[in-house]
Amino acid sequence: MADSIKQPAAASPAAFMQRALDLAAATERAGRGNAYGAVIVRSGKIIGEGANTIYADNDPTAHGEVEAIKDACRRIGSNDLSGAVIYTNGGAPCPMCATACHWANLDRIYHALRADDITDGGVPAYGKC
Amino acid sequence: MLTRRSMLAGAMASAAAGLWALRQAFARSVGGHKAFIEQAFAMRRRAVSEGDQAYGAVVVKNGRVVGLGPSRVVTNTDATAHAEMEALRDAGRTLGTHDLSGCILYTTSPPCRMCETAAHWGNIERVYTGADIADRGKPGYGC
Repeated sequence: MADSIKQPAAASPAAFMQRALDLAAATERAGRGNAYGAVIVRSGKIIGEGANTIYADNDPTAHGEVEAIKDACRRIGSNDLSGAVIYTNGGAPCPMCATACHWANLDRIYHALRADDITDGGVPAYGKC
Repeated sequence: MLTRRSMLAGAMASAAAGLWALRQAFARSVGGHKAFIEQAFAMRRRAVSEGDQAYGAVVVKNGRVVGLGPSRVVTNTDATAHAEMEALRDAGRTLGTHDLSGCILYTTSPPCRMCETAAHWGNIERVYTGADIADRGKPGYGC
């Protein structure tokens, strides 16, 4: 990931979700991973972003949500992302990613297939499935 | 026709086969698992000595440790860096693939949902946990 995160022109749920969708399309196009991307948002700003890179990194844990959480943790220098939420494309996150959101203390999960139709996935729970 | 040479070759072959069978039996025995769970506990000690959470894990393929995982949640400021996750990531780097089929995960405590599902995604064959080397079977998806 680049050193600074490019923020959307207008901070809105649709803009954040669009960024997740763009990350998903880019990683799939590059053959780096499956078409999943995610961004972590706090106080109207993207503080971390990631995409599925299971092929590029030879890493079975490198789902979009996990990579976004790692990126946000690295950037803010803390493993506690309290007060932040995650926007991720696709259906509800898998149990690995949902539980990673729980461990990172994320406030809420939003997921979507389209930027203008976002589902509120609620508070990340431990092993919710 | 049996010559001294062919009898010697036969004896050597059966001795080699015997040794191989013994090695396989050892790998399957508690003795074989014990060496690997001890490596997981060594990772746990490493995590603690570096000021991290008290968890350790290793990934093993064909009797060789291919992934080392001390917990790095604190030291790497990474909420996802549980010992099992780190061991799986290390194994992927070592083997050059995200597909860890045929690998076994040894971990000092029963894995959380994140780690168990990560092992599932990595196609880990079996999970053993704790000092009593409890066999937790093939990792499941979620609950």
